[in-house]
Parts: sequence; structure tokens; C-alpha cells
Amino acid sequence: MGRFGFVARRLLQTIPMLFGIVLVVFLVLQITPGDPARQIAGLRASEADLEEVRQELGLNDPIIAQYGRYVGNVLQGDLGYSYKSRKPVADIIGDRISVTVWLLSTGVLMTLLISVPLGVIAALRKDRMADHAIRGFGLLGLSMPAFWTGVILLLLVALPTGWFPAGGFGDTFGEKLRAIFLPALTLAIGSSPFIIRGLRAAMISVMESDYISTARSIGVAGGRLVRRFVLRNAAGPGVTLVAIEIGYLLFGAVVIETTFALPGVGQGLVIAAQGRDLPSVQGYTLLFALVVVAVYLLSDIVTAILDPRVEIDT
Amino acid sequence: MTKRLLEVEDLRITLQAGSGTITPVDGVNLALGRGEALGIAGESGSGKSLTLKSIIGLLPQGAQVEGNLRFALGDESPIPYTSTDVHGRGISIIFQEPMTALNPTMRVGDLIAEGPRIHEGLSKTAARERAVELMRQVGIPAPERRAKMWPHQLSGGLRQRVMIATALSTRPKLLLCDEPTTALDVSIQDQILGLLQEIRINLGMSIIFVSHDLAVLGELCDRLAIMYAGQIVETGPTDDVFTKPNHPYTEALMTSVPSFDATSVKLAGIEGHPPDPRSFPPGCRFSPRCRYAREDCTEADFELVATDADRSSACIHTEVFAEGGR
Repeated sequence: MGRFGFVARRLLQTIPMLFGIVLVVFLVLQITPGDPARQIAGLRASEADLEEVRQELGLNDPIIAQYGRYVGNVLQGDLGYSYKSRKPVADIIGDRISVTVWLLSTGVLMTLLISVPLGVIAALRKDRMADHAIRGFGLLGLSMPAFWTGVILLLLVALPTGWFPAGGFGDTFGEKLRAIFLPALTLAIGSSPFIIRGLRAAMISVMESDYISTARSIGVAGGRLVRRFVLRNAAGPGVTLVAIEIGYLLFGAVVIETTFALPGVGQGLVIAAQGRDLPSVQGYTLLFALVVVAVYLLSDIVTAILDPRVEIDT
Repeated sequence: MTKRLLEVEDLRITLQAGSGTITPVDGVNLALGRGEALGIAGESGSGKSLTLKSIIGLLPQGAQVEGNLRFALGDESPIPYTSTDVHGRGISIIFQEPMTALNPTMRVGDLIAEGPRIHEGLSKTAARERAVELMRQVGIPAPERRAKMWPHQLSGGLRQRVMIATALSTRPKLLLCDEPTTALDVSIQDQILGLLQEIRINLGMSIIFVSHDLAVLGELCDRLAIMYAGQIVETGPTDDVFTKPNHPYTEALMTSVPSFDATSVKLAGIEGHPPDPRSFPPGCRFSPRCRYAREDCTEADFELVATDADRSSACIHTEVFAEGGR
């Protein structure tokens, strides 16, 4: 069957998972207290008005029918209408998503730029000064919450230098890059310690294995040993770690977009939740869940490409 | 003895174990001639594998090595060396478990080509050709096709042949074998032993072969060293040691091996357990398990002494043992 078989199988497994996710998101609306019709029509609406809204939204239909309709709509990209702005939720998300994509991709890139070299150094210098120093800074990074790191960066870097805007997003590529730098750095400071620690552990376990002894015995040393023998074997666990971390980063984005006043989906979720705008909350939740599923799927595929043994391990 | 290739003098290896330290190899002396095959026999934990790994400088991190190791890289007499002097040059090693000893994310042909690429500066293509050639030399059928395979796609026997080809890729003078047949089926074991014998004769290589299996050592080795509790207790030509062991431990080892020609054999086994490396018994370390032990065995200082022109034993009662034992 081979690796392509593995990827195909993994894709098929995702389908029932997606239905499960849609079901959970759908149920959020059902179990949340409060009457959606009242929410839309307002406090002074009469019972007749409410009934009209219910009819219009199909709220009187059996739950199964509502679920079927919801799945059908979602499949067509229709996530319903915001209670607040009356605009399609899909459009609201569409307006906000590019900011978050910028934030996450820059944040992940920075995380990798920081954590791969430091993780490698910590593993190669295990139990020596460099290792202790890296682990110490890692602990520091872990113990600083993102909203605090963000504020500190704003106060100590953005305001005195004026290089970076204190909030908001830009229009040109350069403006966007400037606006995203500090938020992405905040993300990276919070997530790097986790990746550094995982990568260090993965590399140490690889370096203690017999095949590293074999490599050293035939004279493979230094950078060549790390590149050709250690990194590819440690990369599998590393990719999985990064995938898990991206899941957390999504929720980090909620905090960071609020701190830096970035108009992304994280900020959108906060606004929707505060306004009890349930269709929007549903839309954001669905989006976050889909991203996590996609990232895990991608990480499994990358792992399969990196490790020739995956085909027999499934 | 022919010209010396390797000398090990008073080797002592200390490891951290919990809060204290242990000395699993404690005063080992070895000498190996060019083209010679030496077998080191002993139970698990006797220190035979560590001795082997210290020769090629592949001990685990934190291991302390004392003593003198000398190796002849050229035609001169053996001189002190560091691990980088011999890695990829004079000494190669093959391990017990070929699955874990081969890089799982590297095609086997690329692994075998590493040595030639680094040390002979061969181009990628030339190194690949050499890898295929080496694979043919160690008896791997269809080497061109197999060179492109991953380790997990090969059988255990083929994996060990790949390991041997990798070891040979750097043209070593000395091949260290750390129980290379233990993890294999018996029929494959014989093939691998035959291959090693053939390589040794064709390439004039020296071999140190570590095993707990005396029959395996008997097939391949000119000389034997018997290890017990971190020390060598007897050395001598293989045939002599087999026909007339000079140490009670050797004798006990041999009577615990089943043989085909004996009619009604009761396997003796050895009473008791190998000693704990955290507290070796005083005097002769085998004395608590020895059926010939006398009072002075626990008092006498341990020392390997020559009993013959090319034999030595650490037993202080060799005479008594020779009369009483046989």
C-alpha cells in the first residue's frame, strides 16, 4: 500500500471527524441558554413577532432536521447570519482571516527560527552551560503570559523606538510586516520553550541510539552527523510537536490580537462572545476546529514523508 | 605471535550508577596480532561489550576510561590513539541488533556510501557504485535494487550483511564484532559467521568477536579470552582452552553448553549468580561460585599469570584444579 495509501487512509479518517465537529458546534447553539428569536427580534418584540422569527429560522423544526440543514449550509459555505450586524458570518470571518493567517504563519516561522537552533544546541551541549542557559530562558518564556509579554514589548520596544505600530494592521506589505512583528514575537516567545524542550528530548534520544554509534564508527561527525543522521530522525517528533503547538497558538492568537488591537479572527471571537452573537461564535469555533484538524492531518503527512517506516506502523 | 596490531593495558572503565560509581571493566589486558581473530567470552554484564566499545571509543556519555590503548594505524608498532584517529579509518564495529544499528531514515546504499564519500572523497555516483560493490562482496543478492531500500524492508540476515558492508566500507584493519549473530536465526548465524571468516581471510583483517556463545567463538577465533566480572580470567589458543580449560569458570562455562556427541548429558549450569558490580567479592571474584574454591581464594590477590608459552590463567590453584577437575 505504501505511503500514499497511508495518506489516503488518513484523509478518509478525517471525514467522520469533520461531521463530529459540525455536530458539536451545532449543539452549542442548542444547549446555550437564551432564546435566539428573542435575541434577534429584541426585548420588546411580541410573541407573534418571535414566532415569526422562529418560523423564518426553522427553529420549530425537529433537531435532526435543523442539524441536516446546518450541515447542508456549512457544506455550501453558509455559516448563518450574525445576530448583530445581520451580515453573513462567512463574510465576517473572511474579512478577518488574513490578519490571523499573517500572525500565525509569522509566529510559527519565528518559533522555528528560535527553537530549532536552540533545541539543537541544547541537545548537543547536554548538561553543559549552554544547555542550562537555554533551559533557564525557556522557563522564563513559559512563565510569562502572552498578554504580559505583549504589553512589555509594546512599552519597551514599540513606543520608545516608534518602529512598530502600537496596534492595528496595515495595507501595504511593509506595513503589515511591521504591524505583525511584535505580536508574532509574542507568540514565538510563548511557544518556543515548548518546542525547544521537545526537540532537545527527541534529539537526545536519537543520539543515544545504536545507529549514531554506527555513524560515528565510520567517521561521520560534526554537522554531517547532525544533518544526515540526527535531524531527520528527530524531525518526526518535532513536526508533531509543532502541530500540537499550532493548536495552542490559535487560542494564543485570541489574547494577542486583543492586546495588539489586531482585527483578526481571535479578536472577532472575543467580540462575538461578548455580544452573545451565537452564529458568529459557532462560525469561529468551526473555523478553529477545522484548522486544528487540517494541521494535524498535514503533520501526519509530513511525518509520513520524513519517516519511511510509517507505512508499516499504521 | 605475529606483529602486534592492538594492545590494551590495564583497562578500567567506571560508570555512574545511581549515587555511586561502578567499575564493570576492571584491569583488562589484551594483545592482538595482525590478522588474528580473538574471541572474548563471558556472561551478560561481564564487561565484554564495554571493553569492545572502549577500543573504538564509543562508550556511553559519562564513562571514565583509564589504562592504555595502543593501535597500529600504519605498519609501525602500536601507538596511543584517540577515537577520532580510528573512526572511519583503522577500526570498525558491528552490533548485535542490526535493526537499531542502521539509520532508519537512510537508504542502506547511502549509509554504506557514507564512509567512501567522507574518507576517500568519492563523488556521489562513485560512492554509490562502491556501496553496490561492497553489498555484492558481503553476499547481498540484487545489490543495485537493495541499495535503494530502507533498513526495515530487509530481513534480519540482510540487515546484518548491510551492517558488515558499512563496517568494511572504511577498509578497517580491525573489525570489532559485538555479538553480531545473537539476534539472528540459527541458519542465518552460520551464514554470517561464514561470511566473517571469508572476509577475514580475503582481506587479512583482524577480528575481536565478543559473545556468550562458546560454539560461535570456537568456529571463528584463533584465541580466546574468558571474562568474568570485569576481568579476564583465562586466555589461550581456542583449541587448547576447549580441550583443557585452565580456570574453573571456563570449565563451568563449557559444561553448561549442550553438545551433540555426548550420550547422556546433564547440563551443569553454574551455581549462583554473577556478582553485583557494586560489590565484587574479595580475592578471586569467581570463588563464591567455584566448586574448587579454597580458603585462600578470597585472600589472594587476583592476577592473570602465564601458565604456558601462550596461555594464562587467573586461578591460583591451577594444579589442584587440573588434577581434581579432569
